[in-house]
Amino acid sequence: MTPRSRWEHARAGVIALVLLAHGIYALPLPPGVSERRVAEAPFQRDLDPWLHLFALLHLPVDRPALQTFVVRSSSALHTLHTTLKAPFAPAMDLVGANQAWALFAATTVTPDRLEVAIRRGGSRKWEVVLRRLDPCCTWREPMLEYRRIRGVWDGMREAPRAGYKGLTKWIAARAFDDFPDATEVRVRLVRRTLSLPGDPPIDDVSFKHERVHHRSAAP
Amino acid sequence: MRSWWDRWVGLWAGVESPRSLGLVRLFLGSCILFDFLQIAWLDLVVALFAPNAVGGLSDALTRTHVPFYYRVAPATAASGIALHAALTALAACFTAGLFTRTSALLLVLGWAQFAVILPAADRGIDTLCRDVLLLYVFAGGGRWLAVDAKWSTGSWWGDGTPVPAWPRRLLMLQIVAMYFLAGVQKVGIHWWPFGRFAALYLVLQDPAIARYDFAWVARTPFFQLTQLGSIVTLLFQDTYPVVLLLRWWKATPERGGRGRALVARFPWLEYVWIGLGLVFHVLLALTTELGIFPWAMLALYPAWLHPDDWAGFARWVRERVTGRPAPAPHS
Repeated sequence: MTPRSRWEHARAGVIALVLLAHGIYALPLPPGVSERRVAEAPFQRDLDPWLHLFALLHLPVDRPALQTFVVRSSSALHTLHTTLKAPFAPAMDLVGANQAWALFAATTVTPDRLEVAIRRGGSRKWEVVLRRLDPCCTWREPMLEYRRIRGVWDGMREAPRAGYKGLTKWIAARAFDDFPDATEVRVRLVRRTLSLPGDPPIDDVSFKHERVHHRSAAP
Repeated sequence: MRSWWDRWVGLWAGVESPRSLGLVRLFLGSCILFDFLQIAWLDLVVALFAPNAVGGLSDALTRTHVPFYYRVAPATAASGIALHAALTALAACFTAGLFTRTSALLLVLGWAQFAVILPAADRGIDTLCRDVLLLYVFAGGGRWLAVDAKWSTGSWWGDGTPVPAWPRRLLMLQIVAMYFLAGVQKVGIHWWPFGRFAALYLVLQDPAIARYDFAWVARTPFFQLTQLGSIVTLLFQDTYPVVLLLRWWKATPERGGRGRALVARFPWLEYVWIGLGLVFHVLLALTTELGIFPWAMLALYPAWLHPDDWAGFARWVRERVTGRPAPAPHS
């Protein structure tokens, strides 16, 4: 074997350290799940098949016990992960590096669709101007469906994301610009519950996180 | 222990042509540049980069820890525009191979600030791009088809001086890690039998993600095809590390064994996984609205080819396209 220079040893050491840091960040440990989160409908739906499986295996696990287990174990694992990451966090945060690749880790049977509607002066009727994948309503669609904007409103949790309220105000300001006779703008998420092919169809559409903005209050 | 360490040191010690790294730089840089230009084209610069007090969507100024950028720059729309302009210019420099290492470093640092300013707008592919850019801070990615190469050697193609091979090896490891970790974290019930392998079907029914209305996929045999797709996706991602094992067997034929005999007989075996990944991303690009994600992932694929294999690859493609055996290159 060729004798290695000090530089090569040092480089291999640095690579080992970097891989250790990224390896710790890559550990597929779950984020902490709060009791509030576990009580949400989508999460409860995720528990159903597991309870069904436990019942088939005659394991004495009921829903409250499973919920408690999920909350406690995920919290403990999250704490462990945070502790392991701590020494590397300043460097990783500085460069925005991570190894969390939970891409489509879970899919939803209750997808949301952003909907924007306006009410013109003197009318009581809402006129939908944007509804994704609906040819009727394509106002500023490329802008509002851009992946980074979608990141602000799209999510599987029941509570809206931090920037959602600001986004609705921002959308309203654009709509007031584009529709001079609009007096109100309504932004909301349309949630449809999907059934799988072969299952009984579910005709369930609900509306979430509705915000109505008035022109008089627009910035 | 000593022997293990020597092998570890040796693993990162080789050199090779900068061709594959140069191609990844060009393709990935183009995706990044396109994304930043798209922000401007969609008139989203202020919205995404500025704090909410001046027309942006970020709550950066109201947080306990204000992002570094807005501690040194005034909280104005102009500051947001300046950060976006800087990132776009750096992405262009990186793509062109102009001050490649410095461009990569500054792009990563600036992009990380953008990620902190509006975390919801920072997606997985942004993180992956930054992880890869970090490699280019240390790699010789500007030594081939780059302005740096032209300036330092007088030729766009460089002077053939080899560069360290470890960045490309780490890049392959990054691709493997990404697929494998994405696979093992697919714990949602619809990836599994008791969720009827309906994950891909549900992805296509999500109006926020689907490119078109895929309601018709509920019919036979399309739903069954999506089920098959879910199974293949899960298998392909969960077993992806086997690519590294196949490469290892290929690189060490002298050690013998059944695995090495297998890759000697089927030298294309690793390309089953690599090819599946390629098809997977093309299908994602055709059916979903995930922005640069599929393209940026594909941009990393040149890393799978050793720089010396490009001539053979080109010959293989030519033979497939023309149906005639291509002449062997002059040695």
